[in-house]
Amino acid sequence: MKESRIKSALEAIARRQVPENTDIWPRIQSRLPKGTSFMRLQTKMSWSLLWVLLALALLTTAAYALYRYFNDPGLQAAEEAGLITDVNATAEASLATAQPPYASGDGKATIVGTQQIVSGVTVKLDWVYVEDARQAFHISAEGLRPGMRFGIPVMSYSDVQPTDFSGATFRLEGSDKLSGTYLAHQLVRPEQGLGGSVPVQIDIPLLAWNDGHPANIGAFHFDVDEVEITVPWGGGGSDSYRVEVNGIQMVMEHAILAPDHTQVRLCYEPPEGGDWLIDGATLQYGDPITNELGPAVKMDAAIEIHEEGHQPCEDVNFPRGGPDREASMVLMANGLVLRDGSQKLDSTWQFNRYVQVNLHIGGIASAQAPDGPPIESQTVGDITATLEWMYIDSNRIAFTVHFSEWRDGFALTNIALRTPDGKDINAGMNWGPSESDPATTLISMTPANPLSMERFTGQLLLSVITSLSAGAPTNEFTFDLDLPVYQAVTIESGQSQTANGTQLLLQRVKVAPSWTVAYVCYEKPTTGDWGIGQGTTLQIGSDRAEVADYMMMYDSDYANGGKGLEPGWIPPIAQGRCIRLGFPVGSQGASETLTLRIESLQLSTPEVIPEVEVQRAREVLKSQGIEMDWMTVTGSGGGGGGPVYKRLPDGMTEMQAYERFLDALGHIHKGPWVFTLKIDP
Amino acid sequence: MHDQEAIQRLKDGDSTGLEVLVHEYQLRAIRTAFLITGDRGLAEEVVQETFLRLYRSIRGFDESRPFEPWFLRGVVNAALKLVKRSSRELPLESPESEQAFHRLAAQLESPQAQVEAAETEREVQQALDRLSPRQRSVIVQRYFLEMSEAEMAAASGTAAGTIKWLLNAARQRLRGALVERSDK
Repeated sequence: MKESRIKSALEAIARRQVPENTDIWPRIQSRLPKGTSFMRLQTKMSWSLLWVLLALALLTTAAYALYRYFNDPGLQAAEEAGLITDVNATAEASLATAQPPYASGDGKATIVGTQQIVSGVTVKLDWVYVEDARQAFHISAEGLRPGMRFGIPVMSYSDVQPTDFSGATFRLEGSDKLSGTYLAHQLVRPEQGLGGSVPVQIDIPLLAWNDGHPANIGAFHFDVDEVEITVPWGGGGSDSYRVEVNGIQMVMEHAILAPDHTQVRLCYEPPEGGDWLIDGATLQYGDPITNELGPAVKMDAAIEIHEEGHQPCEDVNFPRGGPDREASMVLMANGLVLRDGSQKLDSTWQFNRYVQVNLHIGGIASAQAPDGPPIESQTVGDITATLEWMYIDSNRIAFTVHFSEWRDGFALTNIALRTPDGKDINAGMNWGPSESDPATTLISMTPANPLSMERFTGQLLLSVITSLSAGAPTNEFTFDLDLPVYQAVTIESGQSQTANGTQLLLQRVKVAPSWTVAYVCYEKPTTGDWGIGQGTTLQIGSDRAEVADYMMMYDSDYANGGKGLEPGWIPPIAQGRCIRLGFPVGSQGASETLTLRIESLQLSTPEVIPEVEVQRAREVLKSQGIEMDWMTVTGSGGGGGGPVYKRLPDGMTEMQAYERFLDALGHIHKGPWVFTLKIDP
Repeated sequence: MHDQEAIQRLKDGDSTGLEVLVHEYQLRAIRTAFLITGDRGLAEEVVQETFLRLYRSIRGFDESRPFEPWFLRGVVNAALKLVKRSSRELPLESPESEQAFHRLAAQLESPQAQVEAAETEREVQQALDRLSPRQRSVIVQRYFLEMSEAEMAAASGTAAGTIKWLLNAARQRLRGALVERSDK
């Protein structure tokens, strides 16, 4: 009671000074980079498909309009109606200061410089860094002869027992002289509280590697008296994962990424009854931004590790060197097998790890990621961007840009439409390069708030980086614009349709020449995150499109659910949810019929589905000829789950099988709900 | 959309995840920062920067922890850091700030606070302004964010004993006021 009284007073002050309608999202959004890393996989897939089809369309000159707008009936119709403006303006790049991809650590490393020689190998401990939730050190080594390898290092602390270990990586680069960075994720917290300083001990085994059989030939040991423990904002984490498939957990504890090999330590709780081993494993490295993976390599050796009090582990080795830049790493353990081969568990445990080069630790110039090519060789001044054409209506902005001197590794990282008063228009966006001409990019933006001005005067800003490395410079292009904004026709529908016991209200639609938005409200079948399911379409005249944009406008279950994202929009219901759907189809002033068809409502899949529900759904699917595993991934760096299909009926896609799975879980509430309106301009 | 889904989206590079988190937590975060900084503009700036830092460092977020206390801890620390740099800061644990701290505790416990809300709020506001940033943050964490002493100690890297000492005066006076009230 006493606390509630104080709380009331403080809340009253805060409420008076910071009213409910305070919204800083537009300011935050204007400062977000809009880069390739923010393309969703689904978007990339659709654009890839689009550009394959575009390449085919380009085979005929008559298909120019198709080249622009294939698969987008809204833009195609806008072009046919003569609403597209050919801009054909060019801009030279200006160089901007590069920003690191994420925040730097606040602390600095302790520079050491101690050197040791073991079996003719010299190792110098360059620096040590201890953070509350991650710790690192760096070595320089030379004299390593063929057949010699470093083992898994151990970083320990006097008087402090680290907790919550969640993976470590030892990355080695170079040939004659090696540079090694070790990074562990665990909590180092002295009893007296966060921070302080701690003595550090580092042990690095030296091994002789003989055809898959390692032997200890020595160890390097370093003592560092006092290392300050940095406590950064936000804590730490890792990309190490614990993966569970069908009730069996596997953990990827360590990874050594050497120039000529990769070794990972996988530990697991084996099934009861028998002596189990990992049946096989593959390793892939890939681009961390695009998630495109290189070829898979199979393991060439696995060494069993049995330590008292620890679950069984295997050091799995691959004849593939680690990457020399930021990379994604995908490791798949393909099943367990009894030692005598009499029984197999045919499941796949997949581990994803982000190979970090720049650790963002202060005071360690040697650990910084290599910058991109020197500025002098980047021909920055030679890149020319050409804005070929542009189209704006109240619901959508679209244009293509061609960049001269485009090379692999370049990436479009920011797109902004800026008004004369310096504000960026808050918009979601999709873009993708042409597969036939990667230097040409089609961009489509959907503003969060419909554009109400008759003409848009302002600037289009584009940023291109020439390297994904931290510190790479950004080339910025600016185009001055003055274009008409084609307005939408608003239809206040108010129609309600009921199916499967659930009523949906189509509050209104806003039909622009190339894009239509529909405002739909409903009472959710149960509490939870119920959105729309697959197959929702909007048809105007003969043009039909699937939903391409979804925005939640209101949900009575959420504390701030009533704060509409559009100025002036008020939810028409008290209980339930309102959403705004966007479709790339529009109307150019003709009298036409609009049909919105919502096939189902769908509950978003929770991160963890109870095992009993998964098993029940798997049984249902089995009777339909679908066999699948459900893999759950947990760890301090992320979590989630997903299906792994083992058998599907002929002709069934994985997407269709997943729909069946969701249905079996009770996550789909079937309709359909069909709304028909007349557009009378 | 739940926090975990929003965070996962953000980790996947989808900024709509951040949008969901901003709309869910900005108000509480700005109000928290305001109570520490005493300035709405600064409070919005603190929260804006904290969300941007979240965006940049989301890879490091441990999803096994609840998001809101973790995020608000960041807001409190950022607000404290900012206001400590400003000229508005009073010397830590100065006699003046000590008096203000005790005045605040007295005002918060007052039965009149229940019926004279506006006047009390003004006085509380003035008392808050006279506190050192550290004391303000302690009051805000304990009574506005309802954090436990252990959570406060962990969040600020301060010994639990110091937190107890800072809160002790307010607690004693409140206890007295509650007894007095029940006697009536």
